[in-house]
Amino acid sequence: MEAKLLYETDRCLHCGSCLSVCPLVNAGVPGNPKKVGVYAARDMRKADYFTTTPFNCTFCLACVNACPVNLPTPEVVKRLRGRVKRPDSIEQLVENVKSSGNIFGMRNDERWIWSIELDFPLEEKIDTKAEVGYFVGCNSAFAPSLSGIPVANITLLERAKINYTLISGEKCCGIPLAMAGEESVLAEIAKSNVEEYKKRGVKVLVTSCPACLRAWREVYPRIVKVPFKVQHATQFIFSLIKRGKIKLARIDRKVTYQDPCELARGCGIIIEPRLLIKETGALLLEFKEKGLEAECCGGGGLLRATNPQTATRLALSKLQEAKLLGSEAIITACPACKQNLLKAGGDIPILDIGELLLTALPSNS
Amino acid sequence: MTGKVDVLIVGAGVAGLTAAEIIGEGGFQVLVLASGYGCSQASSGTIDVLGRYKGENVLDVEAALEKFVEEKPWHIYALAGKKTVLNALSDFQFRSGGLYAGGGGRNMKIITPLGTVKSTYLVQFTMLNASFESLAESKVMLVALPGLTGYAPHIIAGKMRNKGIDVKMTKLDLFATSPFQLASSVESNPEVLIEKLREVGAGDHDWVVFPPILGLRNVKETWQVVEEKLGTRVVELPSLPPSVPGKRLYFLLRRRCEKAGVSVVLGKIVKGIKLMGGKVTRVLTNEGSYVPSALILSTGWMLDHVLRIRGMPRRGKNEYGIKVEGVENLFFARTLVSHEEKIGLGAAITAGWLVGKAALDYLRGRK
Amino acid sequence: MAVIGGGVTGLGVARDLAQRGVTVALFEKGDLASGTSGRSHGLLHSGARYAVKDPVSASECAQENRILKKIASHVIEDTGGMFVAVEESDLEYERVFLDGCKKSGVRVEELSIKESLSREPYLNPNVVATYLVDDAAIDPFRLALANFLDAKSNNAQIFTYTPVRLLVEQGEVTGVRLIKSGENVHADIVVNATGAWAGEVCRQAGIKLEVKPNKGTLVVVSKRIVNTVLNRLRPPSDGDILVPHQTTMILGTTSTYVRTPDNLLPTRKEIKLIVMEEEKLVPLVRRLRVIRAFSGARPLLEGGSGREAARTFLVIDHDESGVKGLITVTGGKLTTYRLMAEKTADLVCAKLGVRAPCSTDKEELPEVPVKSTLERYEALEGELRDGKEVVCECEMVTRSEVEKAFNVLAARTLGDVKRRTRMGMGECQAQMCAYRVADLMAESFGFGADEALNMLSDFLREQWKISRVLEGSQKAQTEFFKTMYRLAGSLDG
Repeated sequence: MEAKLLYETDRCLHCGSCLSVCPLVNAGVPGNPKKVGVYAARDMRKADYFTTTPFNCTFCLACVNACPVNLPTPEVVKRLRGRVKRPDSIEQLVENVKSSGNIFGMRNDERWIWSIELDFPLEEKIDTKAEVGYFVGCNSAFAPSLSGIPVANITLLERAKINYTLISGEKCCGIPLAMAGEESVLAEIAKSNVEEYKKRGVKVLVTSCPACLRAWREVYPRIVKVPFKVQHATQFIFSLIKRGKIKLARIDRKVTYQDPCELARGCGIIIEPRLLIKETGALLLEFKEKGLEAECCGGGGLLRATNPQTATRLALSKLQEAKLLGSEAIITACPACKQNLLKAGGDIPILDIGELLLTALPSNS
Repeated sequence: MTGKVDVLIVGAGVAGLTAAEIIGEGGFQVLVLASGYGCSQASSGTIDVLGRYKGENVLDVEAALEKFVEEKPWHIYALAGKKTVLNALSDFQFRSGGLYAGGGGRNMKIITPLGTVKSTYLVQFTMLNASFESLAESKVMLVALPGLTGYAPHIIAGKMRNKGIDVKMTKLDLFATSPFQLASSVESNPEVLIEKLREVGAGDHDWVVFPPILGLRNVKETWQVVEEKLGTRVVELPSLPPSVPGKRLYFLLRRRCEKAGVSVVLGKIVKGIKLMGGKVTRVLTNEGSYVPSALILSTGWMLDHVLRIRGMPRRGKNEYGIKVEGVENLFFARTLVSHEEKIGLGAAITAGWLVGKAALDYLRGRK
Repeated sequence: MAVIGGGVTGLGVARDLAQRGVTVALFEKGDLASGTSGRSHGLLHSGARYAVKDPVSASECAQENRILKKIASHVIEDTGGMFVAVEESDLEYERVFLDGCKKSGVRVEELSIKESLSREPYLNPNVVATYLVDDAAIDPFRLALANFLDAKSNNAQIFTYTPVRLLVEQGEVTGVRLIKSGENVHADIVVNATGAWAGEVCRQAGIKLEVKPNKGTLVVVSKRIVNTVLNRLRPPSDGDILVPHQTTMILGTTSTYVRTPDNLLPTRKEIKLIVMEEEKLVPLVRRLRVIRAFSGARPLLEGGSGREAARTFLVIDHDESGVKGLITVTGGKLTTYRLMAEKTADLVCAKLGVRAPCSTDKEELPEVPVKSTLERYEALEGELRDGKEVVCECEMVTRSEVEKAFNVLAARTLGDVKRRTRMGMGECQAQMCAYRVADLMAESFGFGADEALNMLSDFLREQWKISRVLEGSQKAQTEFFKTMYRLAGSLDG
């Protein structure tokens, strides 16, 4: 792996295209994707000198897209993160996943806290057999400010009368570990997660977190066979609407959609979220950069844990832009985006697409 | 994301996007596959058509092109013909919404980022006066910024002095981590820059010369605000790649493609093609395969991705055309950059136009 | 006293004599270390390589290795060296190798294959035997600069870009004539320290000296993946040494006789051969990018051919053959430069009646005020934090270091800056920093705009000279930058 990175980064043409898109450089953070990524990899031994720079990265993947030879710069950054001394907050996170299976170090029985907001009991859905599985993800499950995401998505599944299951043995998807440069327990996590859903006869796995989605789609298949389809919630719910399983009332609202980096650039999902917004009748006001070229909100790459000021600054510029557009809410499809935008403050509501759809559900059906 | 499309274009550079727009406007469904954003932002953003011919600087492009196409019948300019080249370029200029200026069959001489002079055909309107002639006999302030290294301000200033221009160099205390960051922050808040320039007495000069930082998306407005508030004339110089003007060009092409209903998918690398009955029937990529009615390859002159595509028909040594003999729905946008003759994006626009039109004709003929 | 030649030998002679209180002037036709010194492997030999065929040279190397590690530790990266047998047939050489080393006093230590592989994980896992020796990487440019600074501090005068001819009056060498100005400089003794060019200089005084220039090609790869000097355990042959240098690795070499030591360019065949051979030592080498290749001219003395020829040196007093006032020092190696200088200076002093003994083996060489890239990497965090202006991003050269190259280290061109700071020796091969430094020259060092542009053109032409023999990403990159300079920058040349 390391050898492969060495010669893959060797293709760098030094054209500087990555500089033109790096959200951190463009927010004025000293550093250089060219330097941090490629030069550090030239001699892995020297990586020890980069103590904090690898942690100034949101894994937004913009540099990969901009690169004429598609260097895997984020992969190098991950590698470097594993080699330098990690900030305490990251060490803690890694420790948490290892000891309790989630990034917060919470007890596993606390993972259903969010379900008290539901207007139906969830217990009978947990660990049952079903064709559709729902992967909650640590952020949505444990962060109080994000509980709306699983609540909305589960309510939508319920309304569509889908037979679904949730797993009490769900473990962190492993992406935060990979981002921290820690790959030691990844295989174990992948096997356990796949096995849990397989046992319940799941044919389609749905998650509302793009990072988890990438873990399932890109990381797990390298370790273990994933015997079912994995979809993002926006994809699955859109298919439900298309099949007429969910009916929406029209809402009158001006909204702006923030493409999550992992969803847009990482998984190429940019159309379904917009179609869903269209379904609600809300007016979509687009950011100047959208889709594959969307600018990162600062929520990725654990930046909030390592450089909260910059994460906030990136989010603020998004909030500002939305305000200038005359938008009444920012819609996103990623817990990390939502959290980062929320933490930046401001009075614009930040909603997951599921939450937007929930407001458009006719109350009596 | 796989399946049938009317036209598949590989490469999202200037040629690919120009072709995509033309075909999209013609009412066909176009899908552009690219590994990344393409190299337009790695260009300096000026449209060089033919800057030098037989060692002489070209000013009358029309006349020089005429001789050029006679001498090099294999070149994309010759394949298109002089008239089409100029048409393609004026069409490009017309659709640029005022971003590009110049043209009219003649080159203009602009100052390069290294202080030399270059004959070029179209420049972004902010650079229309970036020539020693326009600045002659006037009082000029040249703006330098720490951290901004895409040009050589001291050499440029020296050159200006040699030409008798009264130039004052100002180093602004405005730290930039990248020109893009600066351009975008000047766009959203030009006051900071204007205030700093007022402090150093920019208003007392006839011209204030900037590196290209006056806006990224909304150049016209930014430029106007700076000019009005400073009360003096403002001009931008081009810069070396990666450049803000190059990124402006990329934005322009992308917006135009969007309007024409073209979809662009990045992160795709074409691995191979399948030929059957004199046609490309299938295009295989790193993720999924496509069934296009026509395939356009505009993968650029530099990396020669084409050579690595499996199943690609070999072209004869003297086959320089946009087509390969025996394959009716495959088109090549060959651009052929030349350092000696200063041929750059002009060739890319011509190639994109030519291939776009040819593919359009082909598709219409089939219907 | 006049010295011709500003390589390490010439500078070493100047330093030695200046330390003994002799008034010295040194003339170099190009830049310091721009000839053979700067085109060497940068390998501080342990002597092991010559132990079998050339025991005298081997023991000289072993002795000088120890001295230089003491007096010049700041320009040496003490990587240690390994002799590696990769094929069973290499083992036939093992016995004679060990015997030779023992006889010439070269330290060798056997290393188990497991230990070698844990020390160098990219080493070919199929190696059959490994031995540890005292090889090290030495930076020839900084070595030359350290000698330059030391000589200058002892009042030696050093003139670069000053080609000279011998001044011969009635069969006696009386000094040198500066070709550019036509000025004559008289000297009691002229030392000809021009290495591979020594024969040419001697001819000016009517002396016939057989110095055969021997071309050695070296290949620079982009990444440093081993941290020990690697030698193939077999009779010296093409492409069997690999030296880690700062952030790169230098692979080499070849050996062919050439007619003239000037304008040597590597060929595609040589590069291929070297990479193919080195691949047997470190298989991953094949996948790394060749960022540059260069050729130097070894000054080989008569007797034997190529690899067989002696690597020892000669100090010739031409008085013995009837020409007074001229001493030639040639042959030898980078590793033995100090010893060559000492012997030459001894002869000069004997002739001048100077009694002072040599002290170059004890006096440490002065610090060079420009950091090495590895030192810069260590300071990187700080540099980034301070927002200091980094001019060359690959090698992290800062603006102040370029200034020092001009102000303290007598740089006059962009190429000189490159040799002094390593600016442009990294992956991008000076494409991004060349115009920045040219601009800096116009800003701070009184260069006119046209002068700076001409210098930039010249420099780039030199950089691109080898582009036609390079392949893959490096070729694409060079094309990209050629377009950048010639099309976007309209720079001709």
